[in-house]
Amino acid sequence: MGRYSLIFKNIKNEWHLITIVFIFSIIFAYLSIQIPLYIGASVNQIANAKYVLLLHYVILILVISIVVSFFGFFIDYYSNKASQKFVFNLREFEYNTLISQNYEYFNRASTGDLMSRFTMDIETLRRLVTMTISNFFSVTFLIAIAAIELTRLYYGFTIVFFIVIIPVIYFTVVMQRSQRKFWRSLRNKYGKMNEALIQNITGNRVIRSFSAEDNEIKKFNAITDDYYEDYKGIASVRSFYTPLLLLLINLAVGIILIFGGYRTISSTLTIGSVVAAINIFTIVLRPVRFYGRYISFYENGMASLDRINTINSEYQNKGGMRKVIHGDIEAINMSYKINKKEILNNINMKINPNDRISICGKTGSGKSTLVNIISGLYKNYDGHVYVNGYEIKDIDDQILREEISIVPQNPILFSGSIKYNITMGKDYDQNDVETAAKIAVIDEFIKTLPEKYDTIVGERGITLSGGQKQRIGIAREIIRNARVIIFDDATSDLDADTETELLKNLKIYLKDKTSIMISNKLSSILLSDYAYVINTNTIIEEGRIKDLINNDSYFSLLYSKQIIGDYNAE
Amino acid sequence: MQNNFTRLIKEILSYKKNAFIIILTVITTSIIAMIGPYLIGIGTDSIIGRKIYALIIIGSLYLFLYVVNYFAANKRTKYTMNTSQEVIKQLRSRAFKNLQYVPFAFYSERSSGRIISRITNDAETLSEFLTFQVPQVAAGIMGIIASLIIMLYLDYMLALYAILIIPLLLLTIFTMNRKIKFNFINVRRRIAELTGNVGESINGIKAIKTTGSESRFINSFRTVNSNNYQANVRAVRLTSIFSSIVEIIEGLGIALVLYEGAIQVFSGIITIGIVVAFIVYVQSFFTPIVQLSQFYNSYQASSIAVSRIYELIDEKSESNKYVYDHITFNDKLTFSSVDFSYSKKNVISNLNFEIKKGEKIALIGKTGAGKTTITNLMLKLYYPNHGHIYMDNIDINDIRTSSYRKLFGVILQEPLLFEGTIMENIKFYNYEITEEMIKNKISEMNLNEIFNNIDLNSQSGERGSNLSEGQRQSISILRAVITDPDIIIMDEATSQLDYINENNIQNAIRDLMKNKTIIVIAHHIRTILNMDRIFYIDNGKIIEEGAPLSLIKNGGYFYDLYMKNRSLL
Repeated sequence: MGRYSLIFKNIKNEWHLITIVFIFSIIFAYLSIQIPLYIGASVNQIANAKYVLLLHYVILILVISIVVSFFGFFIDYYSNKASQKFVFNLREFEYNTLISQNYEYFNRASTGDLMSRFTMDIETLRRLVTMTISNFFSVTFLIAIAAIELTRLYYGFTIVFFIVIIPVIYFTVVMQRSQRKFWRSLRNKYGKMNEALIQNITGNRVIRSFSAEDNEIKKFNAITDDYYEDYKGIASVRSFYTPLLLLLINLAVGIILIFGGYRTISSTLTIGSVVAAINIFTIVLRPVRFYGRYISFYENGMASLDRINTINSEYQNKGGMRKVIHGDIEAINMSYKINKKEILNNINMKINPNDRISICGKTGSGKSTLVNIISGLYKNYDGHVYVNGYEIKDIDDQILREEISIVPQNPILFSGSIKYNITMGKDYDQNDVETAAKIAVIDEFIKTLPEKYDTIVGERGITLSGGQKQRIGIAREIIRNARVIIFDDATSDLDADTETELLKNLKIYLKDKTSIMISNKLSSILLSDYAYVINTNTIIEEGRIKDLINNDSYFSLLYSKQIIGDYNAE
Repeated sequence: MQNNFTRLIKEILSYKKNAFIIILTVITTSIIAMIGPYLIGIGTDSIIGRKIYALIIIGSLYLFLYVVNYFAANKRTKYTMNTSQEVIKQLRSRAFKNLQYVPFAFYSERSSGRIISRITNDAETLSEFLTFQVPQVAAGIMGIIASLIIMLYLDYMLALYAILIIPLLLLTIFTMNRKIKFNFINVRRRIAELTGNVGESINGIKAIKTTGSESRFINSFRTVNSNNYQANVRAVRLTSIFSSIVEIIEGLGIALVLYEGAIQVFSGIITIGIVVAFIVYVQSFFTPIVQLSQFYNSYQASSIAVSRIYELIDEKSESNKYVYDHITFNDKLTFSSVDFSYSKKNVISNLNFEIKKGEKIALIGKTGAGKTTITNLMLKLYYPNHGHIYMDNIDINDIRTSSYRKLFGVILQEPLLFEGTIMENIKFYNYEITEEMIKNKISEMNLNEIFNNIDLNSQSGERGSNLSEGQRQSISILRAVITDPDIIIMDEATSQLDYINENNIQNAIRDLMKNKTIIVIAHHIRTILNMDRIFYIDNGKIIEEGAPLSLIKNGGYFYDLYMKNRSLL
């Protein structure tokens, strides 16, 4: 039951609709089967030349058709409505779960995977739910009532009916199953084709420079060939089974005609019964194939359900202590591993309120991981990290986020206005926005844009350079006025003049804040007083920058001996 | 648009054997669909007439026909699917092939996403249409036509009564179709919005978390989610109404045929069997006609798709009429009065310079000054609008492009790794390169420290993300130098590398390339000072040129730059 609880939990307010659909399905099935019976009865009347009763039946057929379609409408509409509501609830539930996951979760899961759970898996589950509510009941009743009515006509019809139904269901299941592996493989190959195209087109300069066009063509043709092979597989499955199902149905019709006819001639059966039976067969055997599809959809739907459930089972965000954060951070014997690979080992550091420190080291030395830990984004560390004397992983996320902010190297812009991207949707005064933008040295640029702060950025808006994005990212964090602010190589794309101005502004802004700076630029590092230097997973040096720079230190190797002139103007 | 479809049909028909089999089997299955109900009708008559042998013969004929139908339908399905897929495959391959040879500028004028979606999405839309919809509708329509013929032949009065419902059905379809289509477009738009919202949330999760904006994003998701729900419910309500109306019309059709049929039976014009056959015909009309109405929408969508694909196939590719199949670089590379512009913007104007073999040149200047364009011209990625580029006094347009480009090694600012192993990324289709050679090059270039803990045979990962920036850059450098090219073009990385790694790489390139020609788009003052000559580019022109030290003495643009950055040296 645990497996299905996700379905029941999200559909629980729709039971009234489902009940209506259930009751209507019985009426629908019963009335649907009456039409062939009245056709048969009409044929009997014609055969017996009884005009009055015929008219009566013809009108009944018309009236029943109208009533059946009326019930059909409500079955269709209500079941879809219920399942759409179910999907709505499920999406909301999953989105909330996802967005509240620990940040580390997103490093493990790939975007593509999460997206396909949100789109394809949820859609597969919706189809299963819709099918269950709208078709499963009605088809079951239809078959049951057809069997009863056929028996009332002549029990031999019922035997033929079941002899045909079973292989039809069986072959439909087999057909769906054998197609499925091809479709699945096609989906993979489609992804590969897409990937190959992206690489070819974004890497076109490289490919042409290396004269690799012909090889790329060969490689792409191999992909389309492969794709074609899967379709051939699907073609052979479909061309075998689809006509086979049609054949089975018509074999049944032929047999009914011969044996029903024989029975009519030799015994008491009426011609109308034969006509009615043939009609019932043609009406019911199509929906019967639904059963086969349903079994296959059920399997798919369950696989999707399991994948969606993994999002929930990994959910581990629990509320924590709500404590004031003063801006002090202390790490004691802290280590961190990703997939058993040591990223940080035995880190010890003590940052006091209003300290301005830097973390230095080569690319890939673990600087970003370290700031993700001491800001509370990564929680699965060993050892201790304290803020205000409390273990950071025990503190409520909301509090941490309010008081510790990180400026990333490549800030993501959301589709929306510049103002929205700075405020992230929170209600700030226009003055506050402009002040933050001024500190981030982006206000002047924004004011040159036609729509100023309301200019739309992103896919449908203007494109910004790396440096401009970085400055919007800086403004986004500055406006939040957190106690601790961390710059994770956030100035890398700024030209020298802009950087100088930014650093001048930051010097004032950071006066009563704790700041942590990561940068490959000495100029940005010089904003701090104290530095920790990381190499081979651990802190190898720390001290006042003034002292480090004049020493024969690794720090001075990192910065002073290197080329630092970087002027590339925007 | 019409033309493109005609062209497509011609291409399909060029698979003569397949086309023949498809046409033959479609006709066969239609004829069987036409005869089947008639056999049921005369079977009924023979029951009423108590002719048992006639009944057995007719019944057996019915069974036999559907066995034949099985084989015909089997071939029909197989051949239509395979032919359509063969056509789609060819279209994709041809479009891709042409894309490799269109002018490089083609890519600067278009978004890569749009180009890609033509080969993936548009071809898939067309594939769906050709593989599933066309055969289904064609078979259905052929079946209706065949049925109509036999109905008119059997009893034209009754046939007219049966056909009466067709205008009613068409009227329903046409009045509701627009609205249904609109609803579905709306549904698609809403789901795209929803997917976009989720995608953005996942991509921007760090920003959402670090700014504590979760609750605001949850609210905005609720809005798109609710819009999607409403659009879906609205769409389903209408389609439910539609199928209900179709059901009523079907009932009406049967009632009409029964009533009029009975009158004719009573007057002795037809037998009961004909009435029974007509009922089956009427029932078989509905599915194909409803499918046909949906067919028109997908016809429109796929005719747009076809034209988009043909546009890629027909895009004019570069012709390379070369005089020299192969040359070696001995002396100098010359730009002589080169003008180049694209999208009406004058990028390069009247550019003249000469680079001697073995010289090391720094191209400097602001972003957008034209530095990358110059290297693209050198690589024959762009062609001058006026003027010429010579290699050893041979116009590079007269040299076979593929062999000319092999003289160069290109290192981009942002290293680009392709799907595959690290080794494959270094070899880059050059199958003569062995692992041995790569390892030697690594130690020769002093890159051991960077490569010591990576396995050359491991995957470069989802867009190379398993590797550090330094490792990625080193891989792309190895790729460029492994073949020992004469000229290295390098777009210097600005900020992605830390200085120790960067210095290692820079030193390695300098050491290795002592006797090579190097052209570097330089950002770092120290790199610039190490070069033989500087071209200071502004607005597509060289505004200052000379050896670094002499330029500093002269006190021009480079002098200013030098002074600004000197303190950082």
